Amino acid sequence: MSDETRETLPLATAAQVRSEVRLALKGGTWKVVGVIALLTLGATAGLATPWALGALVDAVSESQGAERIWLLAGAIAAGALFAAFFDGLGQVGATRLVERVLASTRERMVARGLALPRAALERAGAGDLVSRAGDDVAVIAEAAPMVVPAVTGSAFTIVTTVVGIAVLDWRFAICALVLVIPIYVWTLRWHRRNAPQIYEAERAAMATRAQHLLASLRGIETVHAFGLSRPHAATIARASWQVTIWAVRARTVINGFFARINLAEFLGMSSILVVGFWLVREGEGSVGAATTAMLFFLRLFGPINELMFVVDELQSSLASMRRIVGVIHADEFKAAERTQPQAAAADATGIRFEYVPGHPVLDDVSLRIGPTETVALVGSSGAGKSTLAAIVAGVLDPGSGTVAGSAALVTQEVHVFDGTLRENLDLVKPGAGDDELLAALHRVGAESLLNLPDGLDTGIGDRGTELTPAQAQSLALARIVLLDPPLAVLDEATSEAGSADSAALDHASAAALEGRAGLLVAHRLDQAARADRIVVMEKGRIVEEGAHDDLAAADGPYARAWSLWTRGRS
Amino acid sequence: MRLPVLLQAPADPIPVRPIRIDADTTPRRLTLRVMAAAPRQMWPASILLIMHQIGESLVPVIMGFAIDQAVATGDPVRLALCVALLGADFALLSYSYRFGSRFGLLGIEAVQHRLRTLVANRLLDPKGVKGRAGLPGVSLSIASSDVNNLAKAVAITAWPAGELAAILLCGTVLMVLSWELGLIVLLGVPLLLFIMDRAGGPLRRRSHDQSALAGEASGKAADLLAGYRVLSGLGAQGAAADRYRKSSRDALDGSLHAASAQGVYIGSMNLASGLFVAGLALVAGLRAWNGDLTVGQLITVVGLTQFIMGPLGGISRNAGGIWAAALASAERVLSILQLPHHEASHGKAVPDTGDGKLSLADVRTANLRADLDVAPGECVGLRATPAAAADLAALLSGSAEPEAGALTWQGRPFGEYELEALRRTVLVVPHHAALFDGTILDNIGLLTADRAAIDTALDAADCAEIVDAAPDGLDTQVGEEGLRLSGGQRQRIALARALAQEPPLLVLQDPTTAVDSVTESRIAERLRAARGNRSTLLITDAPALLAVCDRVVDLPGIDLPAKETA
Repeated sequence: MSDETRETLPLATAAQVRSEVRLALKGGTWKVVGVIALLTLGATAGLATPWALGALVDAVSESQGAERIWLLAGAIAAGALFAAFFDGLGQVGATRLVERVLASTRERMVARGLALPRAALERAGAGDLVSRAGDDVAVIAEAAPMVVPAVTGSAFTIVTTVVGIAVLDWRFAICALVLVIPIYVWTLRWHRRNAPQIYEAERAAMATRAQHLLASLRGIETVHAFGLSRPHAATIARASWQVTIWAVRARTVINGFFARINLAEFLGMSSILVVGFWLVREGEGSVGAATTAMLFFLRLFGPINELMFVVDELQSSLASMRRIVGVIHADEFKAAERTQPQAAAADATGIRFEYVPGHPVLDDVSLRIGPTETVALVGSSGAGKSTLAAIVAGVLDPGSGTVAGSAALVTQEVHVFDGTLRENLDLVKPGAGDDELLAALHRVGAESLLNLPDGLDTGIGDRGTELTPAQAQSLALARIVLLDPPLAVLDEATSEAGSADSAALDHASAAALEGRAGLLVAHRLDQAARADRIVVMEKGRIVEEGAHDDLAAADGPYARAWSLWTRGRS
Repeated sequence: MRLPVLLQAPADPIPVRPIRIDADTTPRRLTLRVMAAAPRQMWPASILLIMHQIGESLVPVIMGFAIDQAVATGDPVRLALCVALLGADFALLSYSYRFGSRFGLLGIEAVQHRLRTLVANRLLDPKGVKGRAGLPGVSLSIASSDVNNLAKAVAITAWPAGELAAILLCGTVLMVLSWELGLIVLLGVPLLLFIMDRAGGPLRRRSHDQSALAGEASGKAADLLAGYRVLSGLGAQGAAADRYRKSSRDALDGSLHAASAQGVYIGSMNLASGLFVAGLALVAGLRAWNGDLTVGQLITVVGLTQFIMGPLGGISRNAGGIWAAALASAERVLSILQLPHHEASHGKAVPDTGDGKLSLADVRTANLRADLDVAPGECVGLRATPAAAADLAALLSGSAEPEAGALTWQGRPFGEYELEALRRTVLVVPHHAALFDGTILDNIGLLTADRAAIDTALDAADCAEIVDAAPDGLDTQVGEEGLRLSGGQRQRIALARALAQEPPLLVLQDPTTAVDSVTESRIAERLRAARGNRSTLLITDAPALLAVCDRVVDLPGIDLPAKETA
């Protein structure tokens, strides 16, 4: 299984991520302000503890009395109470805010992902999209509640504590900051240079793992029949270990980051010790002041680490966010707008199409379908019928040539969605009434669906009642009746059902096309024979065109196919 | 870029202790077993992390010592010694963390990989599952995020160990300074941990609900994206996006509830540890006031007290939170690992690979009644209802047993054969045969078939024009699930794959429904020759295919009375 040839969905730029977050926060400005205020109050209350502890040292060394000690202990307790209250409230608020932003972003992403043109999604692989909707969303959801309070809370703690050190003696602050700040800046830069690519590689490895697992689960019958359980499990295991290799490399970067922070801490503490020593020796400061400066500096470790650590989480979340927002901004994958043709259901001229450059699947094909005309496309498989059908239906855009009109498309790949029968039907017409849904099922003769145990509320799809291929197909045709498009394209829509049910499904597709134009890709020729016009394709070109009786009488490819078809059937 | 080479993940997975799982395994027991699965990584990790925490707790002690011995005395030699001591301590705490955490991560990752392999193996197990499997998206979410959460439980054996060591060290130092202070720490800390466990209860429940809802939303996204072709054909992407939005909103409600629980939890933890520090400060202050502690000792007490908040908070975060999340995920991981297999029984026998002799003697299932013998080399056409065909496929692939009658293959009952060995000789191709990401050749050969067999199969399934038209011939990528090929092309490649395996008995179900009549008759002509003297069962109504069979049997399905519904 190779991944090199796969195009991936794009990554968003930082600016796109920012504008997406702004969009999601729209109207919630006062909430953001409220959360920041709560977290700031929490951080302020948290400062009571080191202040009171410093004051305790003074109270003892200056013999200020036992009442003072009780008072300071009370201050610590009160500070803890306020800090817990405001910080807890602020964290809940911040998490809720971020969760809402995330929910709206992932919803926009799935909506955009579903709206991607078919060609784009198939090139990139649905697994990539599913992994972005799952893994990446989880990464951010996990990081967000830590990142937001740390940024607001710690930043405030750091600022006040630094101010506190400066108030003791400006030389402590200058000396510590001049030495320490450059190391922090250097550390952050080092991290920014090394971390993002590793996080991106880790996420990409996760996506590959998801892709392999999903493919095996979807094709589980085939995996069992061909005894592929072991090789597929081995592929998944390899992909899984690949994630590990990247995770350990990511940890290596984090550790290098912490080692640099430790160096900054050591230099800061030593310099305060040296400055304190010098100030005391010169008689310009007291032992108590040096102690308090040390205590304050010691107190800085936690918040600075938290802030720096958050930078790490932030990088990793940004990598995920870029993948999520990248789907929303996948502009180059946008489908072209279609015009409506004059006095026809569809009009395609000079269509060329290639999946791989130099290998045209369609070569200069033109097709016009009248308002209520049924056209059958026949030809050997690989002749380009399905591609032409997809282009006429508007799910693929032609490489060159023009198409007007669009249509509903039903292919042989039916998918029964996990949910009730009703949910499977009203996808195409949300809010449709029960009689409308039942009428659509009657129209295509889907009596067996009407007889499901709980009627429209019967659960079907992966976790509900399993439908036969024929039932799934009539469900797909009933969707067409409900949607009521001017043109319906049925691409071998009745073939997967197997031969037993084909007569009933032929009847159903005829019913679904009643009163509208139809383009029918058919290889069962009796179905094609009933169409108003038959178009025969070979190797990406139209080679024959006309009514059944004329073509069957002529000496062309259709006549040959027809005689093969009728042999043994009459 | 340059990366340190020490302690990187090796190219091949690190082995871990087997994690035993049976029908009685509870989530709690599974989590405990997971925690004990990587001792070779976690012992060094916990020792190094204990050293790290000791280094951290020595920082305030050295600081007090430096103020007493250097700052107060004004002796530059002592100052230099103190700075050197501080440097040594920082080197200790920094390097022990660096390597300790990496050992720990290797342990966690090795266990995580093992768990994920267990889950994937269970999902792909040839014995399948009894009844219906879950949504692929839900299984995917369990194999990714729940396995991840569960494996994090391994961290509990290392990080909290270091934090506990730091708390004990602080307690001992304090005990030496004053027994009351030591007692407060050594009694207060277990009390705090107990309160944390209690308060964690609602959080555990909420995080369980939340991960279930998140799994549901992710399953929804996968289901909708799997039906993407249907949706885009009908222009129903908008309605589908609305469906996902509903699911995502439910997940959001879950997260919001969990956030409140987490806020209350964190708030009460912070309050408890804050009150603890207040008590400690009060006692220490009063002792110093009475003259039982010197000012220098008070500074050490104050420094240690300030420091001890870190490990205390860490314990609640590391142990409590991780344990709660792991327990919730363990339940979901077990929901896969404890899935029952399908009910057919299997022996150990390996069938002969020679000419295939199949016999169905008065076999009955819910939808099928069959009495049929297939001689070696025979090609038999079967006309059957879809339900009867499905039952027959389940019987022949060894995943179901008949209600009555006997099935024998090569003269022995099906039940005596080992399942995978049976399937190597009886290949029942599902009607919806899936292709997998890779080249055309990978898909047909499955890395085992020889080249001659592949060429014969390609010819018989009329794949020449597919291969000719493909940009890289046989090495052309088919794309995820073979979606770069048309439906008819996929069906022919799938048929070629089945033929290339050359099984003694091949069961095909409607193998040509997506190809045109000209191609179908070409395939019919060549199919017989490609099978040679191996047996074939063709379940189909297509006249062209039935025409090449030695005989055609109408399988009488059982006529079920139409269901009466209101």
